[in-house]
Amino acid sequence: MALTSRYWEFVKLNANKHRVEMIVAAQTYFHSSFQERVEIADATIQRQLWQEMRQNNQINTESSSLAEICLRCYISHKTYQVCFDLGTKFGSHNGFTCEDLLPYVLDDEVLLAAQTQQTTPVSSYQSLATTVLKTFDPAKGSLNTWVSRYVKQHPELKRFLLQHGVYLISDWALLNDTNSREVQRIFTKMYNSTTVEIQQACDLLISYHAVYREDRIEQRFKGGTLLCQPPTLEQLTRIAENLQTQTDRRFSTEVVLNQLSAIASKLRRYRIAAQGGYVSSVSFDQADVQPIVERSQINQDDEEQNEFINLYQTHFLESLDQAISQVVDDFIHQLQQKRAAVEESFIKALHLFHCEGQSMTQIAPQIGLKKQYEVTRLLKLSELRADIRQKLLLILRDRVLDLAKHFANSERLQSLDRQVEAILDEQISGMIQEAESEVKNPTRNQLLPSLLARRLCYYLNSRNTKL
Amino acid sequence: MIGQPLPQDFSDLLDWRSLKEARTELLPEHFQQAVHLSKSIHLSQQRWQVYLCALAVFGFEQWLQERAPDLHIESDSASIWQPAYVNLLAAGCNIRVGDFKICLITSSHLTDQHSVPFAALDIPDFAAHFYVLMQVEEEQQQVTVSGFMNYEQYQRYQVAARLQIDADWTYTLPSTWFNPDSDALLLNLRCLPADAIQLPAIRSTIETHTVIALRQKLVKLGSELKTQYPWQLLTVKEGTTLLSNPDLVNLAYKGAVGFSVQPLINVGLWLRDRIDSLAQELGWMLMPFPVLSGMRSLQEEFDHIRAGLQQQGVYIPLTARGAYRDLESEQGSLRMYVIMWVISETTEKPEWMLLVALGPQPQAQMPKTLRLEVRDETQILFGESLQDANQGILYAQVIGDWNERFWVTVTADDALFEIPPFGLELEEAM
Repeated sequence: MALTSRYWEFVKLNANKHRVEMIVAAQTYFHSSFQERVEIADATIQRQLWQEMRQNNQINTESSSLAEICLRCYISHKTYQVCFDLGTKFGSHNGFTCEDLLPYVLDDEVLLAAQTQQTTPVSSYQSLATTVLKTFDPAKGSLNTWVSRYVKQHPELKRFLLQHGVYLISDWALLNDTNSREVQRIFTKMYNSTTVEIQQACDLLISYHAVYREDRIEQRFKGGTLLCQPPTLEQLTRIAENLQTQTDRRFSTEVVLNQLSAIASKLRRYRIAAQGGYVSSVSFDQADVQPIVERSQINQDDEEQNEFINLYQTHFLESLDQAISQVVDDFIHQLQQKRAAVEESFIKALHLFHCEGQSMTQIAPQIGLKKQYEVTRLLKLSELRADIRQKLLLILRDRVLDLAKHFANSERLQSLDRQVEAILDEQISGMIQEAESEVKNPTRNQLLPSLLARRLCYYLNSRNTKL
Repeated sequence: MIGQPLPQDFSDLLDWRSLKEARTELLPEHFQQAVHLSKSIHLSQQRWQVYLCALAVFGFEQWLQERAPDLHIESDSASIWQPAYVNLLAAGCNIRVGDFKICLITSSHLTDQHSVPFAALDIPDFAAHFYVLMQVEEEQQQVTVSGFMNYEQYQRYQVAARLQIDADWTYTLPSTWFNPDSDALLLNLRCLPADAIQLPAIRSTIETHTVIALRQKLVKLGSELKTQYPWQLLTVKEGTTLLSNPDLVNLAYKGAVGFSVQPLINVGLWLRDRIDSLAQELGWMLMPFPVLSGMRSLQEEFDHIRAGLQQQGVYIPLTARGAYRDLESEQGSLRMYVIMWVISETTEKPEWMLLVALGPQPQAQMPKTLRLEVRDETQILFGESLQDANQGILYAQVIGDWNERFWVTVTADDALFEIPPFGLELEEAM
């Protein structure tokens, strides 16, 4: 059953937020066309609207343009959905929101004109929705698939996502980076493929490598920076020839392409399954996924660490202050190498965050930035904190001879680091993550409660007085 | 066909990935250099692995310089830059960060298991304090530090798991062996004393009967190394012997690049006043040393060269041997002298000198401009031009190991002469 309101409500951007608006003419048209047959499937609706849009083009321009508007409304919903999914899955870890993605793809010029009852603007610009409608063919796939494919392939959106470390590997890159031994393992383990199937897949993959990888290396040699494109007909021909030379099997280029896609698809499904078992690659707080061996050490060492805190309390604060001052200076020095006059914004942002508990969004305009993720990138809080801890440990090691035993091996060192982190942070890890992602947009506006934040503020204040 | 959405489109959304913070973007020059290195590898599957691994090394260097400029990284002597080694071992071994040895390995895109050359873990010459797993997104030009493991952890895990070496001389290690926290890697590199992780002692290579047998086998295999991977031709045990012995590694590489394809002018024969058939065919004439009065014209011409070289402080010893060849082009003609002598036979690393000098032919006009280049397997060692060939002498001097070879190129005005490589083949020379 279809959620029919999506055919007359369109999702648009208004002051950077998405809003849903209704187009009455489209609703009326939709109801008259489908007589509120609620049980009707999306595929059927879309096919009919699409035929209406194309066939009636000459005879009944109004009905044709209304059918088009219904489809465009649906496209806007789906476009929003794809951005929403990406924002939910990656936004908080990678410092962007669904709203950051929308301007790239949610810009249907025809709908905007229709809503204000203007005629379609004559402009060379073609929105994503227009491209989708121009190429859509219900015989070849659902409108859903079409939209999600074009959204995900949108060059500027892709560039934005990659800047935030989010990307989708192409089939062709995936095949480049998989060797036949892995195919053998996966096809056996996950798909119970027969020996013959596995051998054929491996043979084809090796022929693909012989052609596509070599061409890729040559492109790079000439300075090419393109993403991996689908193999050209010429490349497919060479792959087929290579396969024939190696195995005496002759495939058409079409079969070669289909088989390669099928291998990539199987690899992708395996990747997704494997990812489920290994959460760490997207996890913000890596502490959860320490190898088991390390984790068992923590409890054992608890007592030792409490002893360490009690004994070295006097050194601890002094050393912490020293570490903060050195690391903040190092950060500024690093930043200045890339961009001059950044010191003031950096110190100000640090101050606003730690001493006044402001969110990244609140901080951005005060230091001449637009988006919260730009502040996140400037401050690099998790790196700053890791560096302060490590500096602190080095200072303590030099000051307190007894501490040397904690540095004697990697496990004890890491466990010591976690203890120090706990002392410094209390609840701050969660807050930073929250503030960076702004899922909840916290309004604390007060000094953050952790020890590290308190000492950082103390340092920043004394620094300001000096200035 | 190609324009159609593929059937797996629906699951794509699930396959979007996020790179971790510890990432860096590769620069065009990184790709250029990685491609350049990969071109010295002759078997296609290994070439791609080497290409990715070189990108991983560039990415790691760049990441470390940005993220932790206080740490000093030194990768010039890493195995990755030595074609003979990466031909067998696609890993960035022997990188130094401070007092630590680091080995960079590329992670699999299938994320749960990673292939690591067994030699990087089991052969003391390559063993590292830390094995760093690098995710190379070649398509996106991004490299991420995706995990690390120290040598002692590897040993403990291995005792429990008893992993076997696969047919392609790799171990398949699970992701869970690696700690994904790159800050923890920095913690170790910054705070840990190097002796906190014990590495196996490196034994000096001894000429045992195993080594001799393997050398004979490699010589016998010859061109088979060009079309098949060493792991298809040798046992793991032989692989261990091979990778523990630099001479054998070089020999295997020579097999892989196929010295039969590009014939060698063996200057070793000159020491015995002989010349090989290739050199003869190409018109090389052995020079009697010291140049005898019976060949007056040669003596006159060569004395001129010798005097010119002496002015520059280059003295040809009495033990030297040499040959010359005339190069002809439409614009003019010249004579190329190649002199060689052994510098040290007795020291641990025997070496020889190759001296190439360009001079006029008797009563002939020299070309106006001259350029002389000498390369080894990986790089240009010498490259100089003379705008006016009558002013001074253009010459090059390079020192080679036993079994090393040099390619000489001469450009005379617009004419290019590529000379087949000079090498010192002991087996044949003795």
